[in-house]
Amino acid sequence: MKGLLQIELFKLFKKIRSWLGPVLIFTLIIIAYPLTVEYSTSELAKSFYSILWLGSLMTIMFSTEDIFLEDYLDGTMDQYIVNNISLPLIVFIKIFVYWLLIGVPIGILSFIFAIAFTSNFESSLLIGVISFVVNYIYFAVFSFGNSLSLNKGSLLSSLVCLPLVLPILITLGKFITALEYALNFYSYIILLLGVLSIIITIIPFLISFILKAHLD
Amino acid sequence: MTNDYVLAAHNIGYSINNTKLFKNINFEAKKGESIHIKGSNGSGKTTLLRIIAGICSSSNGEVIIDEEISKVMVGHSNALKDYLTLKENILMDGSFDIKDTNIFLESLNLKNKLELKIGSLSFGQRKKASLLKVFNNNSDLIILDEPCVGLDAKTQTYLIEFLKKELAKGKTIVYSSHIDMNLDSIEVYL
Amino acid sequence: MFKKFFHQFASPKTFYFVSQKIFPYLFWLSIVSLIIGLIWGILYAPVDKVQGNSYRIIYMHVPASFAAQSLYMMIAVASFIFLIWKVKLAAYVVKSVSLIGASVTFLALISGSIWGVPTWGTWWQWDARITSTLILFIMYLGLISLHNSFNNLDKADKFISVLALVGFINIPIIKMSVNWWSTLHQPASITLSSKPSIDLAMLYPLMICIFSFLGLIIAIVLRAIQYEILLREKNKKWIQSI
Repeated sequence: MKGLLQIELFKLFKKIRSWLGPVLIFTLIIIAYPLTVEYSTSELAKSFYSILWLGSLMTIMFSTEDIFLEDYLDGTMDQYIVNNISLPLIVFIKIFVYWLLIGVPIGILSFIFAIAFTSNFESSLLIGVISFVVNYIYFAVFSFGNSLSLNKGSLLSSLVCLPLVLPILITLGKFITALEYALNFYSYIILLLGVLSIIITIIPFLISFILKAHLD
Repeated sequence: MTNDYVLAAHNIGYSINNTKLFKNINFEAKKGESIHIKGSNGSGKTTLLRIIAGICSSSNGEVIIDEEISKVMVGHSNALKDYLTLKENILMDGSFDIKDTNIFLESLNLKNKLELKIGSLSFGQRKKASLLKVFNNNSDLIILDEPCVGLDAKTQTYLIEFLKKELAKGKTIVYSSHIDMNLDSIEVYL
Repeated sequence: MFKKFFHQFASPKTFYFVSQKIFPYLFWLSIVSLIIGLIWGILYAPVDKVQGNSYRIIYMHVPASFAAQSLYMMIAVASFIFLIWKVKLAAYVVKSVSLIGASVTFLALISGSIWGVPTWGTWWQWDARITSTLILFIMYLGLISLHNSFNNLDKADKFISVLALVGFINIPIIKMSVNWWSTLHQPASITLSSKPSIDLAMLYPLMICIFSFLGLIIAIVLRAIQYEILLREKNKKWIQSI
């Protein structure tokens, strides 16, 4: 398994536009945001979080476009099956690698931008951590959507899966409110971690079922 | 396996949207035997090979292959990454060592192409690169879908000679090809 | 023995002929009772104290949203049956019901909007029930578009079943979370989610409308499934003899 992880990491790393592109787009969105509002620090902070969450959501949704499509088209997926490599394992590794190269940088950037906008170190740290967790969930859900319409424009089903992440957005909103009024925000972190643990285990099997059906 | 068949297929049929592509296909192969799947364009040769490889599932019938049998397959798509060099692709494959493959790289005239990205190789060169896993295989069953497409005459001969040696070693080969490969195969018509 | 019964029930041929027999009764009965219910509700039921005559749109709206949710339940159950027991008829159900479900949900959304104008002054509210109806609509659209994007229908069946089940699990989650969210934003205003205690004189025609509309929709669903059977099994002998 370690070998597979290194292989997938290397493959994605070499495909620079696939991971650096989304990270730069996310950066651009956040940097462009102050330009769209009348400059006043307190006003910026109000909507900043929404832009942050929506920006990472959209960026990740578009960045998962290629996750299975490339392997499906060039025959690599056939080879996984012929060589008896467990498909759920490969799916898990791919999502993990995408999260590592795209989700983690976005999380770190969220932390940095949060400091820039709110000047509060502790809450920014928490925002960064939450961003890591939530990004993984996004990757899992949109990869699922991507796998459903693999052969007909993978973005179609990702859009359909957008409603699936609405509860996450609502939770994030509650979390920010809790942060701002110094209420107990740990429960939200636990909630999101719970969702993450369910998704991490179920999604690989779901996706590999769908991929096998595609190959049939 | 109770009998000494490596690969057996009973009553295989495949249909899409309730229209049958082929049906009642039966064949068996022992070690050292080869099977040549023949049929006109669109008769389902690739689908049958994919069923044997385990990628597709048949609509009826079954293919019996021992679980311990290892397979290698080269289909229509090359399973090579365009944005990686030939050397990196070989390393990614992991099923064979780059040192052992040197002889084949020389015979296939690919030795000096190792540092080139696959995207800049020609069609025939890519085909040769995808066949490397066949040349370096450790498997008992070799599945080939039109292996000679895009290969020049010299490489074709080289491949056929190699496959004859593999058969002599006791491996089993299943293939489809419009070109006659002279492997004394059992013929299966779709 | 039970298995034999189940197998017979699951055969498209049996379904076709049985529903052929049921259809006229179901259809005409539903239409007649729907007309009775609507006339009673629109013309004869008492005027509402708070909302005046504009409340009468509920005779269209509530049956539509009830049907929308029931149809999704039907799809979810059929998807489950298809994925676990591989009954082909269940896949036909999922495919045919998605279009009907989408139309009914659209009807519910439009009538809800129209109701909103005289009552709250807005076309739209972000409360739990309305938002989850919108999500339901998007899910139906997703099912339709996903199925249409495939040439290989057997694959398409599998995928929409998976999507339907995933969506099914998500609907209560969305409902809960939007509820959770809206409690912060809308502390006290009357929302659609609280069922006001309704006068019996208004309730009876409403009940009639709900059930007769459902009956009508199910009749349409039966027709749609029959159509799907004809389409998919056209090579079979029993169809060619019709």
